[in-house]
Amino acid sequence: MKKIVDVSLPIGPVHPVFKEPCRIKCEMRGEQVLSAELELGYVKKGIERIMVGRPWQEVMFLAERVCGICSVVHNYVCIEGMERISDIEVPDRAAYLRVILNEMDRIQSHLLANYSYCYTIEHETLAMYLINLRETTMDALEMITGARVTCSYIIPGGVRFDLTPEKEKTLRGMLDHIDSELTRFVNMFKGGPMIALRSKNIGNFTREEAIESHAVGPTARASNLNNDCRLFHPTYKKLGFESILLDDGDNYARIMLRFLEIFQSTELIRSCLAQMEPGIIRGGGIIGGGTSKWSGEAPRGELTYDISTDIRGRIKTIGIRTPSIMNIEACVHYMLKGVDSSADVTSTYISSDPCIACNER
Amino acid sequence: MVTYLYERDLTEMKLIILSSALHEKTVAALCKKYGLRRQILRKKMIRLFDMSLLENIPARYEVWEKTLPEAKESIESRLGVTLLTQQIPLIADDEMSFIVQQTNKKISTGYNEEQAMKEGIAMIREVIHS
Repeated sequence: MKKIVDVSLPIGPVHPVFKEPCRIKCEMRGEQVLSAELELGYVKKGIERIMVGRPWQEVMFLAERVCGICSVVHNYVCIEGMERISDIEVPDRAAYLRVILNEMDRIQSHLLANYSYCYTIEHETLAMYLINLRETTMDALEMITGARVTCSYIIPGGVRFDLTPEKEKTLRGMLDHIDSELTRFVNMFKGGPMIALRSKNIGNFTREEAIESHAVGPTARASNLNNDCRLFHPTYKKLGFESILLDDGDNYARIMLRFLEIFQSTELIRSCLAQMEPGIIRGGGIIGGGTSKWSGEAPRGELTYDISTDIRGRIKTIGIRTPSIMNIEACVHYMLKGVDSSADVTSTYISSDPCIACNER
Repeated sequence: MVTYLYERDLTEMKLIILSSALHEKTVAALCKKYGLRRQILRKKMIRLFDMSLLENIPARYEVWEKTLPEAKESIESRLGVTLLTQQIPLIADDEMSFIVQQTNKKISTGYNEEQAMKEGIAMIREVIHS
């Protein structure tokens, strides 16, 4: 079916502000976007298919390779899903260490997302400050796990390495550094008149639209939809976790929410460090046969692993639902519709923190 | 759906999206509900939806499933009006309202309700087939 429009604007697959390849096809009336579509398939990995038939010992490593940005949470949710199949208990200290790592991962992912946004709206100074601050978080991840990206830290029944008192002290210093630097950067973001012009009341996304498209994570919470999986997680419940919600649902709200969540994450890590008592970090456990569907809160939102294994722990079927699937669809079909300028198409798209690697799992 | 002259055929990539485990479950549930053949439904989805919507079908179906207990046993909810016009938009609004209208009309004229529902589902099936 062909439609006659003023302008058809294809953006991508290669574009300076896209971290990964995809193509947004916009139907425009002059500068106004009437509707948009997304074309994927440039980097399809087929990881779900690769996992089938493989033992859990291999699948836990493959899960991390779904996404290079939020690899920790893929490891976390996949292992927690598998643990539920075989009723494996996790020692308290290991459960807290998992939360610490997950929150560090959230901090670096949110900083990267906000860096991308600032870069897209051409505020390169703030963008570079944010990407530099992300290095502190990456150093912390490396200090705890020995690796920056594919950490393989979480294993069935626990975690690989303990946090020594020296490392804990260094981590506290890093958290203080993140908090103090980020306060300065958030003030720059709030006070920048150009930022407000490019961000406020652009890419509007209502709560009803968020419900309809099953939007998740900061994208949904910036539209006052509270579907944070951490609210139902046993360790987060012990920490008294409560979601942060904003009402506006525009680009500005989504970026601000991520900034606020970084402060929340540093507080959660401090709470973990305060509540954590010495003890074992590896309870052991072997995955057997069964099925489980488990969701965790990735930096971008709800991540679900629907796993079924045979008696030897080999994967029979697996379905991975990543948050970007929902958020990208929400962005393309709701946020972009009605955007007044073609320059705002890329910034609105980036404000939803799209991850094509997750989408093309 | 917009088509550009220089564009490649996306059918194969779209079929790969629809063949994931979660999509298989959702497509199977839809086929069971409306008595459709899987390939017919897949073909219709590939024709109508862009890749992001195709990827999001399982999540959208889940949203509709969650609203089921809240919905009253009305003709609309039994026919899956919101499912087929909003969550997984396989049918246009006017076509769907025509089907609902016809079903309501049959029931109001003393037609057996179950039979009227069956015929309503058959009409939906016909629209998806077309």
